[in-house]
Parts: sequence; structure tokens; C-alpha cells
Amino acid sequence: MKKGVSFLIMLSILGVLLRFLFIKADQYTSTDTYCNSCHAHEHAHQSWRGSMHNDTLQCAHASCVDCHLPPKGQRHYAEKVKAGLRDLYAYHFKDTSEYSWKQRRADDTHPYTFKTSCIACHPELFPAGLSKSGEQAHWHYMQHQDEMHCIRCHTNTGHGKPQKPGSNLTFITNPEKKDTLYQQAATITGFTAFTETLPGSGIAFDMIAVDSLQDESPNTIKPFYMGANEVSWDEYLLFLSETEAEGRSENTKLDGISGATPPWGNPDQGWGLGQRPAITMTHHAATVYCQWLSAKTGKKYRLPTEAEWEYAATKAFAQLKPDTQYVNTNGTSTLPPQAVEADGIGARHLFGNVKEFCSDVYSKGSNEFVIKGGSFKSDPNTLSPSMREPTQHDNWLKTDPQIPKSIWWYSDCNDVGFRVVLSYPTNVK
Amino acid sequence: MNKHNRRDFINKGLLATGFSLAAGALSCRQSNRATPLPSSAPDGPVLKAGLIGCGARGTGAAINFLDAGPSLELVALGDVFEDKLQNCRTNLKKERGIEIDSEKCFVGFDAYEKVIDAGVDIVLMATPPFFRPQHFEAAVKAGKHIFMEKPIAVDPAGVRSILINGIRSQEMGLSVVTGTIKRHQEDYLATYQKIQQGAIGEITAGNCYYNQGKLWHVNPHAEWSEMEAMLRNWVNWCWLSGDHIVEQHIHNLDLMNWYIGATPEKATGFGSRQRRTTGDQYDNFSVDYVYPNRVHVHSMCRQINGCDTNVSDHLRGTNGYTNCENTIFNPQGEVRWKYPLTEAQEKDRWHFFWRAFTQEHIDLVSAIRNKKPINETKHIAEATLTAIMGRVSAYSGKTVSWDEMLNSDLKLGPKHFVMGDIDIDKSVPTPGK
Repeated sequence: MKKGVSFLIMLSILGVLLRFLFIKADQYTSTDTYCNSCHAHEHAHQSWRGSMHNDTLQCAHASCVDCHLPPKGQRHYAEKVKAGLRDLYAYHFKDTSEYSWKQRRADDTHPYTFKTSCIACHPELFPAGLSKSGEQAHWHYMQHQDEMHCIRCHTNTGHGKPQKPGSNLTFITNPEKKDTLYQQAATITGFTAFTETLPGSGIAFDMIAVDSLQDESPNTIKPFYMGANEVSWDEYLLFLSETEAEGRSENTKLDGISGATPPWGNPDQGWGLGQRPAITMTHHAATVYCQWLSAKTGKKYRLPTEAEWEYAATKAFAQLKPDTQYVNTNGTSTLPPQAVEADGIGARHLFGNVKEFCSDVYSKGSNEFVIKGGSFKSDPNTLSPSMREPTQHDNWLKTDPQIPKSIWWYSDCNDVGFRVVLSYPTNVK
Repeated sequence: MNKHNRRDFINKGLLATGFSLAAGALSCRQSNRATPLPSSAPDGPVLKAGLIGCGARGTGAAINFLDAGPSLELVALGDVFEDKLQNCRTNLKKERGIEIDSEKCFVGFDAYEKVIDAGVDIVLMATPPFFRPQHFEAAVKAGKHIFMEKPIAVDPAGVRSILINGIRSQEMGLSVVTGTIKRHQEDYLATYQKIQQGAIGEITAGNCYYNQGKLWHVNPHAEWSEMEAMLRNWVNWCWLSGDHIVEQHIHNLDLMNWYIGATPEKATGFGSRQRRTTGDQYDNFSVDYVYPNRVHVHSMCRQINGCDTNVSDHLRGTNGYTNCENTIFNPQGEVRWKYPLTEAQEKDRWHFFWRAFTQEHIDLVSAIRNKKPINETKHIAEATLTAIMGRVSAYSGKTVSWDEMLNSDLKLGPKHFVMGDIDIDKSVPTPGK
């Protein structure tokens, strides 16, 4: 009897001790210091330090585990064990320097950030201070909860400078009037580089001549002009301001071209406009831009074929290595053309910066188009003239809350743009 | 949302099928006693209310509120028109002996903001439904409990605003009760409970009717602006009332959604304007609503004098049918169950109907004082959208889906609110055009 009591007391003490140890171990393994003790991504720690989730006025302090594990009572410990084992394995058996952190962040399913954790701290979907566009976006989320994660719209909220999500109806404004207004479009005098000028505006851009060795084969590339740079915001905003459709009505003032509706969100991502490449437009919008540009200049501008793009890129980098001198793969944003040097044919940003639309569909019967050259998000080692990627129409419109979704703007792809080409000499209008 | 409804509906359907035979057969032997609703709200600290919209229904709602229990005060009034406000003030004094301080009587399009700011706990809303989304949003953001008359919007944009602010009000722990009185009537509640228990089996079809004579109209006066003339004649203008399928027939459509436990997936409607003398509305609608599992509900409503009248509901199930109000029949038409009326209730056909107007406020005040919030925003918004769906289908001649309506950017009414001309299309809609 006495032995039994002693045993029970011992067992209770052991229980209390184990519980104490468990709590301490849990606390210790939940600190940011612990997470950073073996995690190889110091950049993540740094970007978190600059984020709104690190003790700022807007938001309370959130530690690694507050977002990267579900809340307690909602599979917290199960996920903790899973993550712990995974990290342990990676720490001992994998070379973390080979990880593509950019790619991991780009994963739309966000497997390492738990939506339940966002909601645990932010349970209100419609707080009193929410803007009208915020209401519209959260309404959209409410209807598609299974497909959407908070951070698909609230990008960079945990790491880096947050981008304000939401409608941006004031985005399209009349471009700044410049003193010099071009009276007419450029006249082509021969197969040589020229500067296109857009009548009635101060906008001009350079076209380079891409010569080719023609042969008799049907696949031969004929000589063509190619934009030295990706189409800039300056150029694209002129198109928008001249053709913009208010709401969903159609504007047919320019040669029957119906222009884009105002974008959802902030198409320039807060990186700035000007000479930076225009981004996030759909393939359809880029095609309509070419029609508009053709009507404006009297030439037949179009998107390059995949073969033309590949030919130009091969030629451009025949003698050069696509390193940072020529290519932007900074992982964070687009850059204006001047940020890199001109390549072998006088073009800039063929590789990196933004993926560029081609006119070809990705594969026979597909609704997706070919995009070439990679973007600022790409791994520089993967860039080559033959590298091809498809557009992802539906996936790039997941967070667009409008019904129907925009045919002009991708809500969820910030690294796609285009450059224009012009055939030589046959198709001058 | 619709997906959830559908899922709920299927689950309920399966459950209902499961025990319909057992429960349905047993229902004859079940107790006929229904739980009585409280006849007064509990006492507590004084609750102050403000009224926005001082017409007949607004004045009625204010009196109903004052009758709902002890320590209830009405302290502020707001209306677009001075005469409406003063009438209401006089009637309140006559009926309940209360004086509203002149400083808390507000006139104009912004009167609602002033009522909300007048130190009230509860806001009563009884303006034409066009204004409800704007008033509701302001009251919710100010943290007020709300009673709002049906319907709560006239277009999908308004319904969405109500749904969003409804969620917001829930997140803030506010109570919201609306004027769909059947949900506050003992006889309907008892019948609903029976249907839920499978008394008629799985619901297979329904009919609902709001056929009656014309309501009322006000001819324009020479000294009135077009805005004033429209506001005073609001039950005849679609942008203000939503047309009579929304403004009145909503009672029946809400009942169908409630009993079926889902919202319709689509609607195909007819309608026309035969004898209405003012405004731009139709005076008759006939709509086929299709609920999940292909359950069809035929709805009709008419506001034409000299025609047969009928305001009633009917739901048929795999094992009988009901008038939804107080009686359940077996498939052969014999009464299987009837709500047990007291002698006094038996003599007064409208006992529950009249009682419900106060009951709404008893339920609201009880929820606030018992700290058990009730929130009827979702069902009133869904009922309003159901009615709008029928209207849009009849106006356009097209079949309209729920998802289309829920996400439609249709927004009625002028952009500016001043007593002047109104720049909107005032033509009567023609289907197929």
C-alpha cells in the first residue's frame, strides 16, 4: 500500500516535471532565435525585421512560428513536428545554398504560411476601417475561400515592405504633357535602327534592325525591327489614356479599338512608372496595344514570334555571357533599361527583367501563349534563348475580385511584359 | 455562399429523407404545444432608440419598439421631410405620450447621420429601401443595434453592401432584426419546426402569392421638385422600392428560402404593367424559381384593384403539404396537424400577425439585454436578392442565376441627392429589349 502511494507520488512528480520540460522545450523551440539558429535564410530574417509584423505601430510583433505554424489547437504541434523533422533533415543532408528561395516564395499555395494563423490574429473580415476596395476584395475572398490565401493579396506582409492591395482606379491618368510634341510618326528610310515617335505626344522609343541570313527554307527568319527595350509605362500609359474604357463600356474612338478597363490593384507594384517596363497586362491587352500602336504610327507593329525572339536573343548573346551586367535577376523588382548595358544587338533586358509575350500559343490547342526570356525572378542559370514558359491565364487572375474578371490585367503576375516588332520591309502600311 | 447553402440543403434533404417516414408518421402523435415567444423583453438599463424614416411604418415601428418592454426610450427622429417628421412627432405624443426634443429632430438627406450620432443605442430604419444600405453601413460602423424594415435594398450592389456590413455587425456583436414578421410569429415558427422534423417529408415544390389591390400613389404637386415627388410616391418607383415584388412579395420569398433552407439557383419571370397610374413599376409578376435539387417554387404577385386577392404560401413534400402558417396536411388533403389556437386566438384571425410587429422588437431588445446577439442580416439580404432576381428576370425576359445576381454591378437611383430633377431612365422596362 505504502509502495503504491510512493509510486503514485513519484509518477505525479515525473508528470509535472515532464510537463514543465515540455513547456520549456516548446517555448525554447518557438523563439525567433531558435528558428534562426539553423535556418540558412538570413535574408528572410532581415526582410521580416523591416516588415510590419515586427513590432510596428500597425501590427503587433509576430514571431516566425506565429505565421509559419498553425495556431495552437489547430494542428500546431503536428505541424511543428513535421516542420522540425523536415528542417532537421534539410540541415544535415541538403545544401541550403542550392535552394531557390525566390521560387519558394512564388509558390501560390504558400505551403509554409498558414491561413489559420492569419485569421487567428485578424479574425475580422470587414473591420470598420476597411476601404471600399478592401470590402470588394474580402467579399471576393469570402466567395473563394478554398482557393485563396490571405497573402496572395497581402503580399510582403510578413517579409519586406508590404504592398497595399486594392483597387487603383486612379492609376490611369493622362500622361504628363511634355514640351516637345511629335507631329508625326517616324519615317523608315532603310534597314537600320530608328526612333519611333508617337504623334501628339512626347513619347518616342528605339527600334533596332535585326538582320538575318535568309535561305529558302520555309522556317527562315526574315529581317525585322525589334524594340530595343521592353514597352515602357510611358508608352503603355499613353495607350491606356487614349483608349481606356470607363467601367466595362466599350470605347471605340480609335479605329474600333476597345481599350482596357481600369486595373485592379497597383499594376506598377509601387516600383514606379516612366521607363520601367509596363507589366501585368494580359496577352490580349498587349495584342490590342500593338493594334493601337499600328493605327497611331501607320506601321504594322505586332508581338514577336517565338522564332524571332529566339533568333534575336541568340544573336544578342552570341559573344556575351548573360550576367548581371546585361541581365536583371535581382528577385525583387523590374528595372529601367539604363540599369543594364546594351547587348550584342543593342537591345536591353532580353533576358531577365520581365518575361516577354510572343504571338505563338504554347502548344497546339492550348489557350496559353509563349513567354520568353525569364524575368527578374528567374534563376540566372536557367536563362537561354530556347527557354520557354507558358502564360497561366487562370492562375494569374486568382485574386481579381471582379465579375467577370479583367481581360486586360493580370492580378497575380508582376513579371510579365512585352516588346514589339515590325517586319521588314513588306508590311509598312 | 450559395455553395454552402446548397451543401446545407443537400444535407438537410438527406436527413429529412432519412427520418421523414418515421417522424412524419409519428407527427400526428407529437405534442401540439409550441413554445410561446416572450410577451415582453426583460428589464435592464435604459435603451435609447432613434428613428430614421418617419412615415406611417416608421411611426408604427417606433411604437412597436416602445411597447416591447420596460425602460425603452425613443429620443431622436430623422426624415427627409419636415411635415413627415412633425406628423410622426404628433402621433407619438398622441399614442404613447412621449415628446421628442426639437434638438433631436433632424430633417434632410443627412438626417440619418445625426440620428445615429444622437446618443442612441438602437437605430430603427423605415425609409424607402433604396437608402437602407447607406444607413445600415453608417449605423453598423457607429456600433448601433438595428431594426430595419424589409426590404433592405433595391439592387445587387445594395444587397452586397448589406451582406458585408451584416458580417461586420456580427463581428462587432451587434443585434440586427428585420421586418420579415413571419419569422417572429409563433404559428409560423411552430410549423417550421414540424417541417424541419420531416412532417411533409422532403420538400418537392412550392407556391407563394401576394395578389392584392393597388397600394397607394401620390400625384406630383406643382411646388415639388421631381425628387420630392418621387420620394413621396416611393412605392411606385423601382429605384426607391425595388418594385412590388421586392417591396411586398419579399415576405413570401423569404419564407420559401427559410423553409427550403436554401436560396434559388435561378429564376425565370414574367411581368407587366397593366393599370398602375404613376411611377415606372410593373403591377404583376409571375416567377418560376428553381431551388437546389430542382425544387420549383412558383411565385406570383399583383397590385391591381378588382382582381382576386390571395396572400398565402404552400409547400409540398414527399409526404404531405403545408400552408406554412399553421397546418400540415397528408397527401390526401386531410389535416395531419394544426397549430393549437386558444379560444381568443381562434376568434382573432390576425392575432399573430399584429403581435409580430411588436414581437420583432421584443426579440431585438431581449437579444441585447440577454447579451445573446441575433442577426437577421443574411436572410433578409438573401430574400431581397431573391426578389430582385425575379424582377430582373421579368424586366429583361431572361433567366437569371443567383451567382449572376450576387455579383451583378446593377445599381439603381440617381448619383446626386438634392431636391431637384432626377437624371435616371424613367421608362417602364420592356422584356426582350
